[in-house]
Formats: sequence, structure tokens, C-alpha cells
Amino acid sequence: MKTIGVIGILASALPAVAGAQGRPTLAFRGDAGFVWVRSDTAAAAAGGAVRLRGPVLGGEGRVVFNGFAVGVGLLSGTLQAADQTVKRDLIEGRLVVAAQPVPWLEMSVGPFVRAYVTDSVTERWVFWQARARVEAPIVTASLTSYVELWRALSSQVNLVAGAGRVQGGEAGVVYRPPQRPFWLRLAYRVDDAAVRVGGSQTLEEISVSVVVGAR
Amino acid sequence: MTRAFIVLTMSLLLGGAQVLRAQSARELLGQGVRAYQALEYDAAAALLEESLGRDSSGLADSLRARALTYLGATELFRGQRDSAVATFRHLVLLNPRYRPDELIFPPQVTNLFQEVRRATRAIAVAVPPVTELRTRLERFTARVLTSSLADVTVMLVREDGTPVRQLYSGPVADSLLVSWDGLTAAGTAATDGRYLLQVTPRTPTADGPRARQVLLEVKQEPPDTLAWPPEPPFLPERTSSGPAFRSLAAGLVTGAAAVALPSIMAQGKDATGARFAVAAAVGIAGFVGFFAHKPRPLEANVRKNASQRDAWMKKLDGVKTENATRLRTMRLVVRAGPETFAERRSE
Repeated sequence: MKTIGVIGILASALPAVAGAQGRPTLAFRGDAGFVWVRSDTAAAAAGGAVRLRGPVLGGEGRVVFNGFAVGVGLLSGTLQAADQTVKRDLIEGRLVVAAQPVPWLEMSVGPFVRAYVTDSVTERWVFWQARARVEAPIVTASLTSYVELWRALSSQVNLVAGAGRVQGGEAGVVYRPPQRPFWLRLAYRVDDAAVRVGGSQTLEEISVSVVVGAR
Repeated sequence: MTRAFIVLTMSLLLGGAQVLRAQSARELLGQGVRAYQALEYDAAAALLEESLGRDSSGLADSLRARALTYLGATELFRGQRDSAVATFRHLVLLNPRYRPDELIFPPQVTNLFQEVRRATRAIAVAVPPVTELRTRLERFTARVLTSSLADVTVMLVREDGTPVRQLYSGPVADSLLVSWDGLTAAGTAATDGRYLLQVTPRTPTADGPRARQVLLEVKQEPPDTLAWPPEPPFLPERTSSGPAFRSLAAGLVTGAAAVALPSIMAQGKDATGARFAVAAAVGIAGFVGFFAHKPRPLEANVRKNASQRDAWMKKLDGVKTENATRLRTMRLVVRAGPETFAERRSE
């Protein structure tokens, strides 16, 4: 499944790569956000669903070569329950290979790692994502909205229950100030990772980002 | 085959008979003239009377005039002065302008003819067989001939007698050229139909000239008008409303997607209200895009279109004016029939 997804993404990138001219460009994105996690897996919630929240910081760097891009992203923050009895560190990392066969569509694939770290144990999710992102201009060249959906091609978790379906989506708006080298982005995303024996972890994030360089 | 042969034979016989009749009237005239020149007046009178007695289509007017002249002269030399006078009167009525050749006929003949001509008041009308004219610009002409000074009215009437237009009223000493521009008294072009060109004495008397008329068949031929100039391709004067609605749709759909994402991707979970903040921001962005792309006038195009429109309207007005002029000058075809005596209305 994972192999098929990678092949599909690479195949869609081929026309862009074949016609590629010019030099690669770099793009960096810095994120500041707030995350809510709700976990009702049997292992995590003996006494009911666990709800955590907290601010996060992240970033992503990309090398863009015409319609083809390779990127690495990282996000980190500390989450805690409202009564501050539970506290975890959230760390996410991902590698992405993206292609843009047409200007309004980007397809990407890559491994994704998410870890909830406590003093005693680390819950680690690893999955391969296939993502599709559709953009629609609101004000030509300066204001764009987008919706991105993704689904895991394969998933693993170091819980006894084992990983099930993992999927998510993101919606947001990008503002490119005229004659400025940076962009601003406001986004909302939701990820839902199910475990086999029942229950799931749902992560929501609202973030504001600054992007410098090519997309 | 047999029927065709019969039809052909009949046609040849009928046509041949007509040619024979014409030739024989002409031959009789020739024989009569030769008899007159040989001083055989009785024979000449008989031959000439016979030539004139044939069908009216037998002799042309010029030959009839010649026959009548010789007959009048013959009767005079036979001592039949009254007959000579009657013959010459007939000749004057046929053609008021006719004069016997003084090199051929002796003075007693020409003098008697002049005497009869002065005493006989006759009118004739000569028109071309076919006239094509453009109303107002060109004219149909008719020549009115009188044997002596006569006061006449030249009137164009419909076949049923309805007056159309008076063309002349006044004296005619010898001849008068009357013209008609194709218009009725109301100033409009004469419509299709049959008309009579009547020349009538203004004061009809028993011994006065008889009114004459010519049947005119008038047919209108509408003039060609110019086609209107095609409308030039105008530039759009306002921006399209499409981008505005596309922007609004993009914002609203993305906002709706943000609201619906938890329901689609994490069914059955209580989502936070964070998504509404993003949905509102995207929705507002959509409205911003809508108003940014709202249709607005394109001044440069408006100015360019205005000058194009003015030029086009000038051309259009020019064509309309030209067409109106052409339509005012209708083309008429006037075909003249035979000249006949008009019925006297006051008798």
C-alpha cells in the first residue's frame, strides 16, 4: 500500500520534473499554534477520555524545484490537562515529497512520526501519509484558501492495542502581502488516529504561520 | 406529332394572312398612287379607298396619312370637293401636324388642305412606348399636338377617372412638351396600375377638337437600399461578476470545510470551537474577495467604445439618410398604349 502511494505521487510529479527548468528554491515556514488532544483509547482512559491542550511551535523547510518539492517538518509543545494533573510533550516530525501537477493541486507522500512523551513512557505513532491539497484563489495572487485531506497508507503505534485507521484534514487561508518576501497563513487541522480494539486519539490544532521563500 | 403539325400550319396560315393583308393594303396604296400619277382619278380613288378600308392594322399611320392625302387630292381633281374636305379633315384628325408635300401636290391641293386644317381643330398626343424614370429626378414626356391654337388641359387620371395630377393647362399653338416626374398631386410616387394621360379642350364645343388620351401602364420598381453597417465588436465596459462569485464561493466552501472537518475525519468526537475561528476568517476573506472583484466600470473600454459607437452611429445615420433618399426616388416603368379619343364628359 505504501509503495503504491509513493509510486502514484512520483508518477504525478513526473510531468513537472520532466519539464523542469531553472534552479531550486528554498522555503521556510514557522508555525505558532495551539493544540487540543482528546484520547479515549482503553489504555489511556481508564477513568474516561483524556483531554490535553497546549501551545506548540513548529516549522518546515522545503526545497522546491518547479512543481516538485521535498520538505522536512517539526512541531513541538507541551500539553497538559485542564487540571494540570496530566502533562505530556508532543513532538511531531515528518518528511514529505510533493508534486504539483496543476497549479491548484498538490499531492504529497511521506512518513510521519508523532510522539507523546512523559517522564516514564513515550507513545509513538509512525505512519505513511498520502495527502491531497486543493487551493482556490480568493483575491488573485494575494489571498488563497485551501483544503488538505490525508490518510495513512500504513500506521504503527507502540501501544498493545495496535494502530488502526489514521486520517485527517486541514483548511486555511494564505495571505501574500504585495511586494513582501513572506506570507501569512491561518489554518485549522484535525487528525484522528484509531486503535484496533476501539477508541482513538483526536488532535486539533489552530496555527498561524509565516512562510518565507517559495511555497 | 399530328397536333403539332396542325398548330404549326394554322399559325403559318394566320400569320401569312396578316402579312398578305398588310402587303395588299400597301400594294393597293402603291397602285392608287400610280393611278393618281397617271391621272386615272376614278381608279385611284377606288384603289385608295380600298387600301384605307382594309383592317386598321393593314397600314401604318404614316401610310394612312399618305393614302388620305392622295385620296383627298384625287377627290379634288374628280370634282368631289366635299369628299376631299372630309378626307383632309380625317387626315388632320389623324395627325394635326401633317402637311402635304408641296413638291408633290399642286397648290390647289395644299391650299385646300390648309383651309381644312384651319377649320378643323384637332388634338393629338405622342408618347414614347416605354419610359423608365426615377421619380423627382427624371421625367416622362409627352408631346401634345394641335392643328390650330387650342386651350387644353393635360391631366393624368386613373383608369376609372380619378384625377391623379394635372400636368398642364393653357394654350397650345402647335405643339407642347409636357413632362411628368412620376409623382401624384400629393407628392408621392404613382402606384402600380393603369392611368390615362388625357388632353382635353378647356372649353369643349361641338365643333372643337375632341379630347385624346393615351393609356399608360405604370409599374413601380423599388430601389436597392444599402445594408446597415454591422455593429463593431465593443469591448466589455464592466468587469465580469464571475471572479467575484468565485472568490466568495472559495471562501465559503473552505470555511464550511473547516467547520465540517471534525465531522468528516473524526466522527463522533467532540471538536473544539477553534475551527469556527478559522472558518470565520476564511469566510470573511471570501467576502473581501467578492467585494474586491465586484464588477466595476472599465473606463478605458468605455471611452474606446464611445468613440467606436459614435463612428458607427454616424455611418448608420448616413446609410439611413441615403436609404430614405433612395426610397423617395422610386423607379417607375411607364408603358404607353395606343392613343384614342376620350369620351366627352359634358355631352
